[in-house]
Amino acid sequence: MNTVFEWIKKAGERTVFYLRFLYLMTYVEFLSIKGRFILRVVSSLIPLVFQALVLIFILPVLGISAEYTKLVVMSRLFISDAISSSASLLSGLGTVGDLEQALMAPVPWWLVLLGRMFGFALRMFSMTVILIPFVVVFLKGKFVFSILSIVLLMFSLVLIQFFDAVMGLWGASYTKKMSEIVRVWARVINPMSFIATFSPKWPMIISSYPVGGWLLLANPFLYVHEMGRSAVFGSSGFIPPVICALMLVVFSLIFAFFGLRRLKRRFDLV
Amino acid sequence: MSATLFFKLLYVELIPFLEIFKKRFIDTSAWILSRALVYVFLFPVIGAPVEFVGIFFAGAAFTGMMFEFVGTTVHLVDDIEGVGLVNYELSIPISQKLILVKMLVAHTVRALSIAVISVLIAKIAMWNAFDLSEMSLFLLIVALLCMGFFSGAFTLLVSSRLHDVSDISFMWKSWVSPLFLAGGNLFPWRAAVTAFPKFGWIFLINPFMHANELIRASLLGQEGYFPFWYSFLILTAFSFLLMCGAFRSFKKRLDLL
Repeated sequence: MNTVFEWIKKAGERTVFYLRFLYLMTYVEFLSIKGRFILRVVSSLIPLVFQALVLIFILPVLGISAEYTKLVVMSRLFISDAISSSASLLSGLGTVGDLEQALMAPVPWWLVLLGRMFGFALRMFSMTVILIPFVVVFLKGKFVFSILSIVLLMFSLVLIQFFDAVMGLWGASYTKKMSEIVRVWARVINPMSFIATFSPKWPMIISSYPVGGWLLLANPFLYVHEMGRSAVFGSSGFIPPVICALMLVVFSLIFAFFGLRRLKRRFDLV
Repeated sequence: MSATLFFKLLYVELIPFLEIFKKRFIDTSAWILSRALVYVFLFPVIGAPVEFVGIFFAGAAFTGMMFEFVGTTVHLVDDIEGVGLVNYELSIPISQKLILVKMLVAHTVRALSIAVISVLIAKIAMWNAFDLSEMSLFLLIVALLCMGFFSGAFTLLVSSRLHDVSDISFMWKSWVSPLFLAGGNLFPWRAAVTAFPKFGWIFLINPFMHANELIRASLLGQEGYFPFWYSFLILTAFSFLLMCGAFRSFKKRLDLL
């Protein structure tokens, strides 16, 4: 009996230690942009503003419906920044070496990488939350506040940013050096993200192209945008948020598993 | 002697590109095909007009060059900071300015090849949807050379100003991306003028707009686009300015004679 208690106690202590380590890793990663936070927000805001200008004012001139462009503007907010997540992870593993130092800590290697991902997700979450009011200003007149679900939006953002961080990790696992970082982005992440960002509501697609619509469900970014859009514009006409959340969790687990496995092999982690 | 060395160095610089050309071809194909999927299958769902396909894919040549710009800039900054090939070449007994010209020519050739394959892949992927019946081969060659020169000078200028590879994301988001987005990769200048009648001319200050108008006028015909030769002159002037800026910046940074 004593042995069982002893084992439970040790397991509890270890779990607390791991959780504390995870918290610290997340915190350190989050703090890494301290002092540059406003600069980062501004640098994310600039392309968002320009894209919104093009989508809301110029594309309707060419005959593209404003109802559709507002969906794309909102999606632009959720668009992945997985490439900078990969860059941050790779520079940590390569020249800077701060991640290598953390990997020497007496914790499982995956916990270190998980902490890095959580930190990145938290950073992106805080930046996105700040950018929301600017998008609302652009969508003035096309935005119904009574429909907006703050709780669902926050929940969506947490899942979306975590998925984004996971994609960064997965991308980094396929990138051997910094100069190749664009490759996995250009071949996989950007095409998937672009198709989902510029997709109209999924039920509209399935009514026009049944096969194509079903195939699109294999694209994890579709759930990112459907979930975010339904939080802002109401869930009618979108894939139900619960299904999107579940699918995002499943895809995050799959990509995290393969990403971690590849990084483990490449860096000979134990 | 200098000319032989110049061409040998140019050849040496372009050899690795030939090796990675297959990879670049796959990258560009993935990018074009994802756009084709959206513009051909998804846009009709929202009732978008067919001519949008032509507008976008004609501009794809310049967008392809911008993709090459990111890769080249990362590579060049990495090389300069890491005491690599550039520093070695600068120690060779040949005019240092010639080394910079060689870098500019190499970037121009790389950008050009990406632009050509972008148009080719777009045509093969879209076929009838991307109508090139109004295309002028002479104007296309002039446009591609002019855009290539601009892209090379732009790459050189950005690389000369960047001190760390990790800064490229910031540079892209805060400087290049606004120029790119407002530079008509999704719309022609006439649409900007219709949307903003009083401020439409502001878009003409952006060299990216001229690059896109040039290639569209050469591939889709002059009608509806900014006059080809005006765009050509403006873009060439911009390219010379950028080139001079890049040379001056490199001179300071690398302590050239």
